[in-house]
Amino acid sequence: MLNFPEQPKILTLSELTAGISRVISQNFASSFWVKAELAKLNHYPESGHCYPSLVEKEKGTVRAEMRGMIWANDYLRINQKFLQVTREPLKEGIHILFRALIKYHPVYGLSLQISDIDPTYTLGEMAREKMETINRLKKEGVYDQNRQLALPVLPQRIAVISVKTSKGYSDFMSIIKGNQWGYAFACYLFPALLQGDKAVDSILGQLNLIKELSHHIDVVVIIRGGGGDVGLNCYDHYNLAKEVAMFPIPVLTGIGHSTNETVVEMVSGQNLITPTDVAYFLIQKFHNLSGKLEQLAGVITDYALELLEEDIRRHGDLVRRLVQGTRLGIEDGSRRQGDMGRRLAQGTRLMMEEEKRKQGDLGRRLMQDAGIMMKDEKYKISRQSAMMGVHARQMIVKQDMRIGQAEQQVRLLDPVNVLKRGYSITYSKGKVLKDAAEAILGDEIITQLHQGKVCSEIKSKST
Amino acid sequence: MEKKISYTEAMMELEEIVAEIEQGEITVDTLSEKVKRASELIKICKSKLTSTEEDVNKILSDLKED
Repeated sequence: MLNFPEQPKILTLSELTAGISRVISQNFASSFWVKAELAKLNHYPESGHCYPSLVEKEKGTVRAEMRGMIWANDYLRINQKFLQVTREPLKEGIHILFRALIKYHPVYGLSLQISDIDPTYTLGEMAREKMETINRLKKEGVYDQNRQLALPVLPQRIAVISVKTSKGYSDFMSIIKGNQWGYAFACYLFPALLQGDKAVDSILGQLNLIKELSHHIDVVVIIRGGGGDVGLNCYDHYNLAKEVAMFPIPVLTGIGHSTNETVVEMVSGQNLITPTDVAYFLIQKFHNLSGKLEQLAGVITDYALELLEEDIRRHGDLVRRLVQGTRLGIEDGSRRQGDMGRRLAQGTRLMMEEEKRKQGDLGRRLMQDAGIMMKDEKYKISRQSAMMGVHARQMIVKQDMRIGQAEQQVRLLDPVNVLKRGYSITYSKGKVLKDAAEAILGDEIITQLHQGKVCSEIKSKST
Repeated sequence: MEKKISYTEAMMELEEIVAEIEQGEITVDTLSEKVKRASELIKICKSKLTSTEEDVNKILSDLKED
């Protein structure tokens, strides 16, 4: 016979679990406030119950993990309160402070029965995480990068990250497309989820796509609206905020909520809060350009007009001098020559008046053209007019020369001028003596000098 | 060829002309030509405000190449 040592006491499994159950209920009779990360929510819509997974991590590794449970009624109450305070639903990845009873079930084992969650703790945690994100971006030197990008002069090609059926998108598009000034924008929709946990990856995916098309895009807008203001915690997410901050194209945000500014909005090129304001902002950029063009057109018109007026005034001077010169010529010259001078002066004056009128016309036309600045025909006309101006000036110079010559001629022909130079006229019997053959010895002749006359007798002659 | 000028380029040229006119570097002889060019540039800029050259197909074809 083999001697067995004293038989150990053998329990059934249920006897053991009953023992564990007894120990736990005795030692953990009341509830505790516990803080942990909500790793998984595990909400079952059919029953309404939740079986969350609760963890504590240190540097990425799990130090403790327990199963929790929230009965359907508790879950409804807790989640509603949580949503009101944090503007986020209960979801994976958040830190919670909860009241729990330790429960032991012979089949399902150990779990924490959650009866309440304090949302203000989570709110504080979220604020702390947001600050961490901000500080990290600043430390990495990327916080201001997108804000420092200059918006393109003509922000015309727009990548829109939004949801096609959202009110925000339709508001934006109706303002952009329906602007009464006819400004043209090319908008490309990059559909993405805009709130909740999945929004981060969804928006990041579209941003990567836009980056590949960056040479077609002037500006990126992220617009959201009409979806209520819960689930915006995604815009404080480090990965998303960093991508926006470092994005090579300016990002404009119109996430449209009333709570605190999110990190994405802080680092975006410009946060305009609502989709309609983003649209108005872009239209305003076009207004500014249009205004600048009007201003430049005005400057050109003013200066061109000034230049033309000065030119017309110079022509007027020239005409006056020409007329004056011609008048002097008339006074000096013979009647015949004077006639010619008068005609010349009159002709010149008429011509100059015509030119002056044309120049005035040209000025007016130029002003009109510069104002309208559209029809090529008008420029042809103004060029022709300008050519006429040049032509007119050439004519004036030519006429000036002709008048000068005429004056010279008149002066040369005047007998007074001839006498002045020492020539004299000899009269015999009241007639001008031009030939010595006609002179008779002993006759008396009168010599007209420049000053006075002399009377003499012909003593000899030669032919 | 003129149509290919970008808004920024057109604007720069326009501002150059305005500066020349303002500084009195332009004579009546060249005025007409400058005003004509300035008008063209203003026209180009204005038309760029109200029309786009980009189309969705172009973007899509680029996307496929990538």
